[in-house]
Amino acid sequence: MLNVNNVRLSDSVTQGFDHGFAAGEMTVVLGGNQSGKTNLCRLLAGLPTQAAGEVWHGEQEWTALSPQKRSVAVVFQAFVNYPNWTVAQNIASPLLAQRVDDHERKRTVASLARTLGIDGLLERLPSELSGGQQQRLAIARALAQRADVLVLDEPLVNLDYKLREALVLELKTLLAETGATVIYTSTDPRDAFALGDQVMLLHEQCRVQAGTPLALYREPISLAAAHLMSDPGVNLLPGANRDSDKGCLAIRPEHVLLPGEADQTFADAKVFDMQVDSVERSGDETFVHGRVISNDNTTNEQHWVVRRPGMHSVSVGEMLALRLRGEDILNLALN
Amino acid sequence: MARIRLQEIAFTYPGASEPTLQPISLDIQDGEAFSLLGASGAGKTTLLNLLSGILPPTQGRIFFDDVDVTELPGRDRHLAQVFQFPVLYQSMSVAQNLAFSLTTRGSTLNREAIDKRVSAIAKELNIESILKRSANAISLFEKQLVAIGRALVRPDVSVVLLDEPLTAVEPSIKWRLRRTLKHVQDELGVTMIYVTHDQTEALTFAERVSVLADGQILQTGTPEAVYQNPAHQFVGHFLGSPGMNFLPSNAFPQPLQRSFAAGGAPETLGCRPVCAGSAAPSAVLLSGIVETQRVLGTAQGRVVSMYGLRCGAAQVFVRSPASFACGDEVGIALQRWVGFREFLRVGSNGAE
Repeated sequence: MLNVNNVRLSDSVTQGFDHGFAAGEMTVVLGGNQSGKTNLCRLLAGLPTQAAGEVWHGEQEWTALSPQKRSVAVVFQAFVNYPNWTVAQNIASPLLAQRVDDHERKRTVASLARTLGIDGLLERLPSELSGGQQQRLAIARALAQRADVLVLDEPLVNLDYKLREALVLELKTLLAETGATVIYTSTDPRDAFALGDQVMLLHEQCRVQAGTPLALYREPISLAAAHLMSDPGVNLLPGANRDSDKGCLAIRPEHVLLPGEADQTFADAKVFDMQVDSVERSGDETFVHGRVISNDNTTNEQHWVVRRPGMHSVSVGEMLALRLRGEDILNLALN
Repeated sequence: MARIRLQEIAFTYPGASEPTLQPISLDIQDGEAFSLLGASGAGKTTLLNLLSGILPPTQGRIFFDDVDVTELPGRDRHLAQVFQFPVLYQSMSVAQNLAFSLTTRGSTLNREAIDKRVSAIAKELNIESILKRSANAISLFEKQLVAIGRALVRPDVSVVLLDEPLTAVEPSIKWRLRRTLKHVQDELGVTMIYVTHDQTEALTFAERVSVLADGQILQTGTPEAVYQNPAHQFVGHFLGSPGMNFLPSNAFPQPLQRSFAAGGAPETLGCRPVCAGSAAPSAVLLSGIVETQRVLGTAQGRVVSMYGLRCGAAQVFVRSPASFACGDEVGIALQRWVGFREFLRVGSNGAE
């Protein structure tokens, strides 16, 4: 178990939080830009940071230990490799430091290079690799450390979309096989589902919620938590209460049905009228944007997005009667 | 604004044995929202550099409206560019940033006309309230809006080139920026060329998309056309998340094989994960073993997953609200397919 106690991710935060990362599990830390993700990573790794708090690895306190004395490996967003060492030398570098013998070193380099699909490039320099290959190399080097804790700070964000999609699938299996406790940061809720045994949500340098991806998706405790696990963000119900005592009501974009969607009838359906502002089609999905006005004569207007699988023909300016299931409505705290 | 025409444009770096860009012809309409989609190394940036005059083409001509601009230096082509990271003068206010290009280049506009132009663009982008603020005191979202505003402010701009403008921003901001971009494009009728590796970006932004790979355009068409009827297997793979499933056609039952046209059967059938998932009585069935499961969310309280199935040598992704475990054998209904031979589309069972 990797525990952090009384963590404040920046100077401006007054209330600290505690968190336990279960040994051998993968935790996706999800948060927007400036949410404190990188500060948390640096705190765990022992690198200089604004974040403060205790770090315990099992019974061993890491708080005052230098990065070299912790069993931790880090992969950053930018590809960091030794520029004048070959791929093979880069992967071997942590093994040299650990004084692993020649035979074992060669065996590990070959096996890691094969796993990450860079075994054909062992004699090349990092500058002769593509972005995707450089980041695979950085991951291979981190794995070669055989650290108990592996911290990956948005490792795929600089890669092409399609490559990222393929690597995320590979990483899931690869990282599970290492048995390490993995902390993986991202802004994309899809990563939480694809990779996370557990998910921690960060908003404005505070931990807002933690749990399994499905639990956070089904029962977000606050508006910020609901937005973080939704892309696009959740829709607020118009006319509903929105004060700090009662919180607010919201619905996920994929839980709103367009008129005429077949075999999607349910007893407790709520109907909202939306005027369509714009329609986006990604091929896989259709996103309909518009303004919803409540039936109860209030002036409270909300911008909504409806997210449906497949291609739907909807025109701008059209008035749609949207249906949603009472059970899918989220009751959220505002802070 | 201008119509942009590329006539058999090609480019080979001096000394290189292989061309970076094969001969490409494109006709982008005045006021069109156009997108160039491809992975890194596909030739997107080279094509942009040819358009903006940074590189001279090895062969071919470039026309802006009916003017041949092939030999024209970049600064005389009146292009505007927006980059991945907003490029602003940090020491100036937002208004000064917007006005900057109108006060240089021997601009003939007087103070009053400049102010008018700046406030019109600010209104369109909904950034009027921050005009007086310093450019380093605004959010990343606002910075990128100002960068877009700077590109649009010059009345003589022929085309706006957007180079991965949304890659660096978080998802919530991405949606707002893209909608603002679309809105401005519609309102002002600006010709925009949007370069990206992200298929969702390309398909949602553009009226037409060109898919590039290895220095060639594999297909140009509306988002619906390139998604539903990919001309090349790569296009089917590259669009969609996950991409199109491909199966050897002999994996399918006899009745389907008999339905192939006399012109010759396709070697490979492609189907989308969404098409494959839903069952219908008339659909062709085959089966696979569940290997992977990724949760997507819920629909009517049931968990919806993307399942990875093993069908012989092929891996097939299927989206389903049913609950399967790894190792289960699952029937797949195939309602719509596209046939390929030697990677090229030879037919489909749906509307073309």
